[in-house]
Amino acid sequence: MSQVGKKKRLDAKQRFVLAVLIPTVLFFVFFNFVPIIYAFYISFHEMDFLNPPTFVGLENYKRLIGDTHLYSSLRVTAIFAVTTVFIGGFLAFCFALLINSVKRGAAVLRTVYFLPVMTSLVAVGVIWGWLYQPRFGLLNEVLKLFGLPRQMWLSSPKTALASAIAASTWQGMGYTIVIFLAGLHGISRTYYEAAEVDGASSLQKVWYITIPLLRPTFVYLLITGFITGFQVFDQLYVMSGPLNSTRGFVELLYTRAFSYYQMGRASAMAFLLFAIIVTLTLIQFRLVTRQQVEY
Amino acid sequence: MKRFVTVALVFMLVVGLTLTAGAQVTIRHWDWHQPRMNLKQKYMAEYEKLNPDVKFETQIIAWDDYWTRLMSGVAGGDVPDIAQFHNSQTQAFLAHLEAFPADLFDYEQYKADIINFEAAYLFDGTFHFYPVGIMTGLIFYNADYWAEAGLTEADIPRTWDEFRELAKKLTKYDANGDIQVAGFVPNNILGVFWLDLHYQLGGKLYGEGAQTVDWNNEAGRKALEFIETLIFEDRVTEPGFLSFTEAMGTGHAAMVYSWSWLGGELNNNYPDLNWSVFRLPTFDGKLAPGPIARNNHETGMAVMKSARPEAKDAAFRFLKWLYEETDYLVEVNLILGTAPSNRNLLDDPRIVSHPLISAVAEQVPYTNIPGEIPYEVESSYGLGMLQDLLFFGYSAAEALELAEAEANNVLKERPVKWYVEDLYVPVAE
Repeated sequence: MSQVGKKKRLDAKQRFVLAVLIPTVLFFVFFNFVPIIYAFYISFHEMDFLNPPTFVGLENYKRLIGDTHLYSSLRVTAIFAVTTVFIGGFLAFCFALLINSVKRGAAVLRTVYFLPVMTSLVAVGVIWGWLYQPRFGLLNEVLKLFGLPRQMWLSSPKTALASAIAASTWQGMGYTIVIFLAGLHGISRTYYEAAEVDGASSLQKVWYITIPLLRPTFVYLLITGFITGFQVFDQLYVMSGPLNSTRGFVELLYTRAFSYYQMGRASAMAFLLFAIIVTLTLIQFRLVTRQQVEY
Repeated sequence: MKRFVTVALVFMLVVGLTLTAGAQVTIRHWDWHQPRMNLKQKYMAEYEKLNPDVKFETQIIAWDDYWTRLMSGVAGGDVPDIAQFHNSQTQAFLAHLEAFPADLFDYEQYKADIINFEAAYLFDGTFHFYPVGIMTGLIFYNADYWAEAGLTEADIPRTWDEFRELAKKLTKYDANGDIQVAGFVPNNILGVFWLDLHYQLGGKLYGEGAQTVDWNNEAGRKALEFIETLIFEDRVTEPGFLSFTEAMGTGHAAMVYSWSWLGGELNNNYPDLNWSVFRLPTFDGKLAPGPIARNNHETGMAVMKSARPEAKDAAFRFLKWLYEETDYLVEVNLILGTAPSNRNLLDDPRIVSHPLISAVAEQVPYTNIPGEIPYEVESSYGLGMLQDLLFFGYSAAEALELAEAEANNVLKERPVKWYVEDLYVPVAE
């Protein structure tokens, strides 16, 4: 009998791999891929889910151009993303260096700094809301002890975004510290010992050894930080400030979709956000992966 | 043969009757408000006893998710047979609600009995959700502070000038001059409070045909300047003070403005608070001709158009039965802090003896319903902006101009179709 045309049968291992993969692939296809394609389809339609969709071509995308609320929400989102990535990242790096040098009580410390990450965002929002309360809040009481003037925090359009960013940075820092610590543990002691023999100071060791060797960690945190920063919703939604001073892009998208029931327009916004994030990610990738460090 | 036919007929009759007797309808129902659902469940259980062929399946869905779920339910064909409804969603859902059948529900009787029935409920001659109660804005006060200041019910202010003096008298400052107990807190509801004052001064929410709002006018400016005086001149509250609910609940307010739902909130979350309530004062002390405030209706249930056919008839029969139960209508209004929409229930002893509901009932005939207000106009891009603009240094005119422009942008995006503000009939003095 000829071998041509005979079907190749899978062995047990391949069948197992397939059996394990199929549910995941199906899940991804039905719960991620299909909705994304459908969202792209409805971005060219006027649709509220309650009535049949009407094809409007590029109208939903065109309307985004003249949408002033969209620009202000993009500004808020960009400020949030840049600040949380750079300031939050810098602070987390400093804390990671400090924690890395701690010999005793490291386990307790790990729990303490990771606790906010595990806390419900709504609970964090409520607690920080009270801390920030201008008349009876704890932060203003502390300022009063030092003779400093009372601040409006979340209640002023001038300080609301900064206040929300501070609270959000506090909550997310534990995760960034863990990533930095993992990177720090991967750096061999021998580099530091060699530097010590050469008489390098602590700051020089950080500058010439730690930072260059943590480059992949920085790249990872920068890219994922920007992606999550641009998708921010809950942090700003829970700690909202007056005059839409903390209204981010995704919150505006959510309002368009679920308050105005403008699903087509909201989908167009989602694809605009996707384009922004992809562009930024590619730029970052180009910029930060040019040089590789090797010792 | 004859015998055979007889036996066959009897057999078919028995089978038919058995099948009919065994057919059971399950009515699915959604609501977002647990206390109201608890009450409904009590009546549903009673109805099930009276009608063994009907069963109920109920589900609570939080308000924030409710309309999204209902919307996706309509799209996906998975809706409750009876949905609790709210008139803020009229424009979006009206086409998906079944009209109450005229052969079961007496439209003419409702026109006579239900307050604002034609304005608030009739769309193209039919109604799609049942009228239950009416809410409006009132002044809530801390009865302990009131008594401490030597005040009695006779001191309830009837004019805003009297109210100002009272608010000043009730404000307490600490040694640093900071407000400890605010005499009056409209914080976080200032725009809604302003709208009532705007009505009192002859203003309206909407311009011609509800295509724009009409705020930046003499009445609007005068109303906002009055609030400005309370805050910056009288210092009965201040920017950044607690919200009206927090201030009232935690004993940091002697008086707050709120809609009547606050009564339930205070009873549930601050059960030890000794509070009472009075109707809004006016600039000249008179109620008529009105309107002196806005009202809105707390609607009842609706039958979904895409509900299962076998459940629709049963659903309407149940609603007919339930809404003829005076006890249910009174009890649900007591839970919601609303005055009954049905005029005949306003004299019910349980309503008359309830301080909150009786205050609502006293004010309601002098209030107006404008129709639909898009969420954004009421919150972040309209009325909600007035407080922030005023707090952060804008004059009344500037604040109204900016808020009006933003609200008009929203109306361009989301035109209002249900508009009944001009139907208000002034009450004879």
